[in-house]
Amino acid sequence: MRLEGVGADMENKTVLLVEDSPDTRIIYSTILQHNGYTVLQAETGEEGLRLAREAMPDLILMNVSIPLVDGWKATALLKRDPHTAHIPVIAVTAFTRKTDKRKAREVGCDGYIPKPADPTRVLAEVQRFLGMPSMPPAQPPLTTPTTPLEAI
Amino acid sequence: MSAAALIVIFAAFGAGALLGTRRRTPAQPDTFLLCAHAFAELEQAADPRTGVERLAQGLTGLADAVVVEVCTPELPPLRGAAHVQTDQNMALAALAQRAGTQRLLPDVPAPRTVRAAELGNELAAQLGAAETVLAPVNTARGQYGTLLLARNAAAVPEAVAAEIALRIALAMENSQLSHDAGLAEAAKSDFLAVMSHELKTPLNIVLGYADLLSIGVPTPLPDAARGHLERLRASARELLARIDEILNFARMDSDAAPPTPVQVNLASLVREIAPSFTTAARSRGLEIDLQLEDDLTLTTDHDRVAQIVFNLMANAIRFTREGKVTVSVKRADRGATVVVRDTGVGIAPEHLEHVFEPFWQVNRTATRTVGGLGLGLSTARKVARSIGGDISVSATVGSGSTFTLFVPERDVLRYENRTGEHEA
Repeated sequence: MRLEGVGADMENKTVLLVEDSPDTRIIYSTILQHNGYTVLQAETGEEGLRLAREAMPDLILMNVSIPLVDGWKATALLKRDPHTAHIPVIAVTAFTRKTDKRKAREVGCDGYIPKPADPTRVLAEVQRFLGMPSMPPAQPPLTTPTTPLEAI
Repeated sequence: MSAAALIVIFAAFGAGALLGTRRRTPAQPDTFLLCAHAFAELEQAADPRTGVERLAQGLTGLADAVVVEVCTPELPPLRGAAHVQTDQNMALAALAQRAGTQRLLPDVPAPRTVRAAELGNELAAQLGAAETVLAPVNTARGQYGTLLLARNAAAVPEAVAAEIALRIALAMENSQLSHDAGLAEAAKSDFLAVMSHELKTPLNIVLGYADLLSIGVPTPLPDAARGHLERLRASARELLARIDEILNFARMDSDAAPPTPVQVNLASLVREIAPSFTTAARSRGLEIDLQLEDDLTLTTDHDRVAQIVFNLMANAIRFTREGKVTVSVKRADRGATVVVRDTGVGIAPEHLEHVFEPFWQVNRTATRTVGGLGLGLSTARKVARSIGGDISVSATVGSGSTFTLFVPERDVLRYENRTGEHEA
């Protein structure tokens, strides 16, 4: 288990980032850590599933096009498992057609961010679900509009 | 094929009637009809091989035996062979199949009438003592092969054979040309799509890191550095927009998928898109004015309409230096219109028809200052037509342009018909 948090405050909310691009992982985890979240990282759907079950994160950011088990399937598996079903999953995907938004809802995603998503948008979406972290960041909270799945 | 080609055949048969009235009048209407049907078989077949086979069968009313042999550079010869008598038909077809790469018919420079025996091969025995006409299957571009028409009673007039042979040659040429054109088109679209994707992925990474720096992560930058960073971000976004423009244009050529009709509220659709232009509009001091009928819902393809509106708004903002861009949504007869009006440079009357051509720009110097590839409007119109709508334009030089998108209420039948004629 890789825990890379800011400070040792155990109240920090934990975000699991499932993403195969190393740069995208760095960009998203940097802004989340900077704003007081603890970030776990997985490169594949399989690793994502394992980490989700072991670490029970507060939220999962799930890229859909990832190796081994794709994001749709991983989400469906997590939502079927009573231990992990309550964890909010936000799909991050380059598939931006209406049908894919429907697919996100079908497999049980709680939110949806179309790619490419700038880091502030990802942060805002995480904040919408988890609220501000217990250790306030140096920056003021960012208020980029987000797309709640219900509105799609 | 065109009516003109049919007239040529009529004329050829007419000439045949004059020149070749030996024992029988060859230009009877039933001969013409028979040939017309055989040609239709040739042209409507899924592939040249089937076409040639069906043509041979179709011509057995004109001749007792028909053999078409067409050579293509990379494949073994295509053959169609048919005989009026069922048993002979089978034997002839089997022979044609067996021949493989060996030619059954000689190349001839011009139509000529010979005794079947003169062919001097297995085929000669199969045709018996028939009167045989050989005609070259060729066009100005090249020789494709030979046509043989054999008849026991009297030879088929050479002019008729020549005309049929020409039709086969033209069909071969068409099939080759459309095959080549299709390959070239697909290769172009694939190339553009792959290139665009390969360019976008690293560019989004560039933008991601720049975004982090811009909000002071990991550490706030000095003001002078921020200035540079913001210029870097603006250029990266501009580059991304141009890549998207190419990608969408390429996609229109390769994406033959039928539209996906869903319930679309046009006012919400415009409100979703408009924020994409807030930054660009604000930086030029432009106002974006939305005049939307809220309860206007119709059945159409949401994503395609969104793409069109996006392109029209991007175009309006790009060519407007001051004033405002107005987007209005109104009900129309059997559909709705989305009107994008700007107070920009306008378009001269002689240029109005050209604005929808790909890569077209009013002039190159204006292009330098305004930027863009000139694909947005071309793509928009193609997409509009793919959902049964269209875009029209009116403009005055110096005082602005108005683009009107008509979005029809989905008509199920029309949608189904359109999917087959995507290029239209």
